[in-house]
Amino acid sequence: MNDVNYRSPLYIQLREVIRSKIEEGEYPAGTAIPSENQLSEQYGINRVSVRSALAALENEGLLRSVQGKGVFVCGEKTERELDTLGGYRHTMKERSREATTRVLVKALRKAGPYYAQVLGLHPDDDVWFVRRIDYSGGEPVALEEIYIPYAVLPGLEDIDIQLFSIYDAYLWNGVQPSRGHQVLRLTHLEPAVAKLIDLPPQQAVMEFSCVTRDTGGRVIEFARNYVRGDKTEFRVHYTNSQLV
Amino acid sequence: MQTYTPRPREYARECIEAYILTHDLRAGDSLPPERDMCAMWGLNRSTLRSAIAQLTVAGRLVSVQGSGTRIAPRFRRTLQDLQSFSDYAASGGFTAETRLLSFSTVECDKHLARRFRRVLGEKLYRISRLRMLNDTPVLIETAYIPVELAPHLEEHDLVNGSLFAVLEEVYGLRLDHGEEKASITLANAEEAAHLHIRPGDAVFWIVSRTDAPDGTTVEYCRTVARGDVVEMASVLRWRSGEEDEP
Repeated sequence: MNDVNYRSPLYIQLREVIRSKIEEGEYPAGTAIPSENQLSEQYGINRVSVRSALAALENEGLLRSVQGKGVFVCGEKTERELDTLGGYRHTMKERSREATTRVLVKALRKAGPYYAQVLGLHPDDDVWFVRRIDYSGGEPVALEEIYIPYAVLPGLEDIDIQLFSIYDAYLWNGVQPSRGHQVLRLTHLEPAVAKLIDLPPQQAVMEFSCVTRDTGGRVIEFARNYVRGDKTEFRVHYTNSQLV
Repeated sequence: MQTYTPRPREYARECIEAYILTHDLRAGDSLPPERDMCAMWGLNRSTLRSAIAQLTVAGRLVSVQGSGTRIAPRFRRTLQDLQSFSDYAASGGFTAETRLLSFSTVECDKHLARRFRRVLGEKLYRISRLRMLNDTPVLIETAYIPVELAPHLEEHDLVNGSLFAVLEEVYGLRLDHGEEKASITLANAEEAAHLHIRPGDAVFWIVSRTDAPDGTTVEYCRTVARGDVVEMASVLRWRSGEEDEP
């Protein structure tokens, strides 16, 4: 790739410009790069060439274009599977169905008295608050509420979590989740919240709350997940040798 | 950047939960009087009440006629450690009681045969026990064990003693690893009567399998656990985060 010079076709030159901006972090993983128009204007080359450059990088898996949203930088491929010796694993009863998510809230808030304690912060510290709905085959199955100290993941602002997982966002920002302490309860939701996941009134849901730490033992996340028990089941493996 | 400000009721709820944490309130402990909480956190009475109502629906609080609001009882069961019920109760500082509901011998049906990888008709012990903590019935465990692995199991004390201890000490069966699956179901009339809940109440339905080191399935167990008082804890590990594991 380094044999590109001023005589190379413009689209190849642009391809290498974008590649190096991705490698150097000017275009961080999970964020959108400038639009075709902007790139065409910035470098004074026509849009057909811009499109060819982007298509090449998309083929390499470095970029991902999303209709109506733009072209996004993909980070390294990540292993999202939890360890088989882990806690409850979320298995959709109908596995083959497409999983999608809809973000209702992604905003900064003050930790406040409770999340300050859970996350080891001061009540006035900023935390990310994300509320989203997970769908399986178009049907809502879970409502997630996630709290992340701002200082752990300042880069979340520019990452589109509709397209990328928060786990990806951690890895791209050099945060390595290591273990989570998970508690499962049965609970009831108030009607307005139950409606978000089409839960009939009075029907119980599974509530998973999980405090996640990184390899250094720092709390990086508190998540509360309300899951329809009629749509999912959970599985945990354990061994005696694992006793701590 | 977008910012989010909790609504007054949400803030009230967070104040209550923070108070419970800070003061390490346990099951049965009371919250302070409403007017004190309002003064402490600058809330109006109806906001506070609405937050309490929300936490009550969620099962965190119970209101006791004439004596205010208390922390709801919760028994936390830790998975992944094969701890016996009596050890668990002791570690949590609970008093434990077990009642034998039934002890019988059954033949493997199609389902059980598949679980145990045994042929149809092989004999299994079926032991159904009611577990109580602090005088509250919390779960019904129905365990299946191949007769071949533990002949004359009925001669041993499975009420005061631990089944796993008997299997290890008397029959030399080492229980090594297993799998547990949890989902929600509704209590039937018989379960509800034993657990002192209403038929149709939501309960945990937990199916577990425990194997010896060589992979022989020693026990298969179906548990119905009260959803209002039992919670289950487990530890998640990320594969790429294994460096810090022993």
